[in-house]
Amino acid sequence: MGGNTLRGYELCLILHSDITDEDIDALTNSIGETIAKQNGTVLKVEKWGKKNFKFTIKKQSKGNYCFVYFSAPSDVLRDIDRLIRFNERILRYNVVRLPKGFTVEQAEPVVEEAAETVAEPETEEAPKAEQAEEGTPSAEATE
Amino acid sequence: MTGKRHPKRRKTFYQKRKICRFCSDSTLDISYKDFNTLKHFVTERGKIIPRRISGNCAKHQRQLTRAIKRARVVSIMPFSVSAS
Ligand SMILES: [Zn+2]
Repeated sequence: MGGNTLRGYELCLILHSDITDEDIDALTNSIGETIAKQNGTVLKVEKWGKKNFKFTIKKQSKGNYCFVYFSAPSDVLRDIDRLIRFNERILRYNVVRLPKGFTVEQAEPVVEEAAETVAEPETEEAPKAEQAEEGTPSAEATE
Repeated sequence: MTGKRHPKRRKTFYQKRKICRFCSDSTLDISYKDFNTLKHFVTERGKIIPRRISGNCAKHQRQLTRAIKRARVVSIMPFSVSAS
């Protein structure tokens, strides 16, 4: 594990809805610096803005979504974790591996208009966000 | 036993979609961030619809399942929706 192989990752940040745009930029910048320190590069930052949750996270019903695409050695994930973990304004974060041969063009924002379903179904509190589920085929075979 | 037999009850079948939507439309991507696509493949309760009913191919169903589960982690998709 570890090593210097650059891998593509996508970090999803769910921030408190009160957070300002400048705070988001400051945060993504510091994440970018952390990534750069390990010879990684930020490919793209995508800000969604406020969005209603489908279930409450840390007693909040909405949050500010932000996605950071980057390519970096896997050690960076530990550094990012350290940076983010104790930040109370980050309600949740999640890292996923980008598919092989990923290009920035593919990172175009998903058209996502009518997604603002304000109806808030009561759902169970989700398990704590797990880190980095990578692209291994899951044993989720249907039949 | 009264000789009267019930007429054979027809089992109600779901309408099977025989084609995989993602195979027939190559522009359609599977992404955990794309609520509007994913929502078609879960029930009202939020459960993932099996391939036998949706008609998806194995490969795309696998990708779809992964996307839905990822979307749940970041609250883009619900884990469950209680009956109202
Ligand atoms: Zn298919």
